[in-house]
Amino acid sequence: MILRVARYELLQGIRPVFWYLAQASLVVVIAMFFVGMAKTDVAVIEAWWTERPPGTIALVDQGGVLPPRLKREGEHVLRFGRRISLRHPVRSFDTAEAALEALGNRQVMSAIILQEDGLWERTVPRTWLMAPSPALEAEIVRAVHVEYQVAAGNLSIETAKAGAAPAVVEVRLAENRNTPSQWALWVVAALFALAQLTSFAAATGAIEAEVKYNTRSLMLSAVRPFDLFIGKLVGRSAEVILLLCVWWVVVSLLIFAGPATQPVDLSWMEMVGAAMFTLMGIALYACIGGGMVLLDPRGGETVLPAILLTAGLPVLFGMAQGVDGTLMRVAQFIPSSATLAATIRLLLGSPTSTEVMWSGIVWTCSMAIALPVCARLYMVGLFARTSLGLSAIAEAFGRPLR
Amino acid sequence: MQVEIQDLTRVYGRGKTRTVAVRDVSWVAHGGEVLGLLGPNGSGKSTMLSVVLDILRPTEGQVLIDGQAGANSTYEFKQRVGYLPEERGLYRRDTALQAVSYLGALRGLDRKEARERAHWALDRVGLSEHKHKRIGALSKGLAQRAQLAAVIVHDPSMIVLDEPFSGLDPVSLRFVRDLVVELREEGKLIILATHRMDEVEALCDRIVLMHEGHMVLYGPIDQIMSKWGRRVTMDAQDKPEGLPAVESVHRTPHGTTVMLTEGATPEDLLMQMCASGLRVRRFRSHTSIEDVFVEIVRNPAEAA
Repeated sequence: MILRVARYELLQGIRPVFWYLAQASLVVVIAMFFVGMAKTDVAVIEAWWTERPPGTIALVDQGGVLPPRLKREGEHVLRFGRRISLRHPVRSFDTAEAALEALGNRQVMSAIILQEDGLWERTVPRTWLMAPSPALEAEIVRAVHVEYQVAAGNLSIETAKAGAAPAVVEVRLAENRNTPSQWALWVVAALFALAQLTSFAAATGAIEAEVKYNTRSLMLSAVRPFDLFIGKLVGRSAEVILLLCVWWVVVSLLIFAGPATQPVDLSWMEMVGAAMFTLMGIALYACIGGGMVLLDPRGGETVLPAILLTAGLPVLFGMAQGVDGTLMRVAQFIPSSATLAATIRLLLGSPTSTEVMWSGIVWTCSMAIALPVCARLYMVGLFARTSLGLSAIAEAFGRPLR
Repeated sequence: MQVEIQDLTRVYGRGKTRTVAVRDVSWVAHGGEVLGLLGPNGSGKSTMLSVVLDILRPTEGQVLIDGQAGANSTYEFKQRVGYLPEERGLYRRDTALQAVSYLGALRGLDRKEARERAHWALDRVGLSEHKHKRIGALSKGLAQRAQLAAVIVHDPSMIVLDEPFSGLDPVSLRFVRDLVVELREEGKLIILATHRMDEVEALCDRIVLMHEGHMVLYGPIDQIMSKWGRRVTMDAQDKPEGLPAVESVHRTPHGTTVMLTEGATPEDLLMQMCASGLRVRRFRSHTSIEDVFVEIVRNPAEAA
């Protein structure tokens, strides 16, 4: 019976032809936004060696925050090879030299690494992977794993201090050459997050139907209320997954036809993980949205924005700070935003396996609580004969509903 | 199919909001008959139907389907029942065909069969030309017919109609009445909840009369009419005792109730009273269910 309800709800969701057009055009708009960003000229700092002892690198800010500091003699001279302290990393950060503090606070930043044979650059999220030579890369990776990491690029302060070499710095406007290979990932991340939040609206639309169209008694005479609830959630979640598939096709077409011809710097594991968290988020948000909407006398006008803000705000603030920043890490442990944050970080950042695992645990616990509670709330709303207040809800939890 | 309700009580709310919607009601209905649930609004008819259909659970008592307690909560039972609820509604965004097909599928038909049966049901209720119109675009009467199609789409053995005559024009009213007769002839059990006493009298084999949650009368309609049809209420100066047409006389707050002897008619009594010089200010014979109901509600002790 659940599947019959689910099939109907899926067809209800996708029946209008313009649905496909609207979803596809949405992807194009989002993609154009990111491509536009990619094509915007940015301030680029280029640096040349004046002197480079063996085993040194230069770290240069593309975002334009550091030039005044780096230009000052001495502040950018950071020798590789100093002893790395594993103790009191935060204090080390606080007492770091001005240039490095700025470097650490700068979230969206590309580092450009100079070698003797010219300019060599890598993109933002994988800063710690850049190195002028395999040996130096290995050293940085090792250091990053054991040291306090600077939020921007996952470089430890000590590593950064030790890795920089004297450089001549020049600021100029240039095309942002880093982004084209990454824009597709931003589009995918945006769509994955959007899909999760869309499941709210999809589920509430289905749940509200019984009240809106006066079909409560008719449906409940044919289907058990819990089966009806689950069927609706499954159907509308399937609709959102189908929506994702449409988006995926459009994004793939854009990738092949558009500027992102460079390979995406993302492993299959990360992509699969992000997709998994997206599905988990769709299920959770559909469940919460579906459970809450009938409690709102104004048909979701009050409840839904509140839920969306609860889920979206931590991630929005986190994104402003940086995908691997503290806020995003915290958002990964907040039940309402765990799947969103984990999805975005898997695509655009560098979450540790422990962080990903904890997000999964948070989701599991959230789902284990949300599903029975929301099903109960749904039934309270469905059977309620008076307007619902907190006292009515509390009472409904303490007695048989039917 | 046989449906039996035993000592059913249903309570809503707790404390100050506690309301007894149905109190200690028992009745039984069999296949091939029309059971009428009668009573004014708020008398507990819809609540009782909701309990029979497992939409609500009884506070006390039980529902037996073919002698089995709790069988009304199974999908097997739900698939044998067609229900026209009092709160009318279908998904307005669907066409009539889609809505009826979906409800057929929920009642156990497979996808193809549900669609074929939906065509058949819509034809039967006279909606052949409106199958592909959205429910929201249909008039109230036509939408109600679509809902009737949803009731019969899966060929149920029990049909529950809650206020099926409300808001219908005379043509649709006749149509529903004819449909009920046809379904009864097909051997289906029909439970009809309404406050339209005239329709009940014309259609029902057995009635349950409800008032303020209590069952005040239950039985075959012909027996009830033969018993209550021999009653006359009057406002007379003196008791009409000793007259040949009078079997017994009772004083009530609303006047005097007289039970006629078998074979005597109200006209006989009136003539005998006039002949014996009794002065009568008001005289009313109970010739319809509505009269019976009014009398019982005024004088429940008499009914008991």
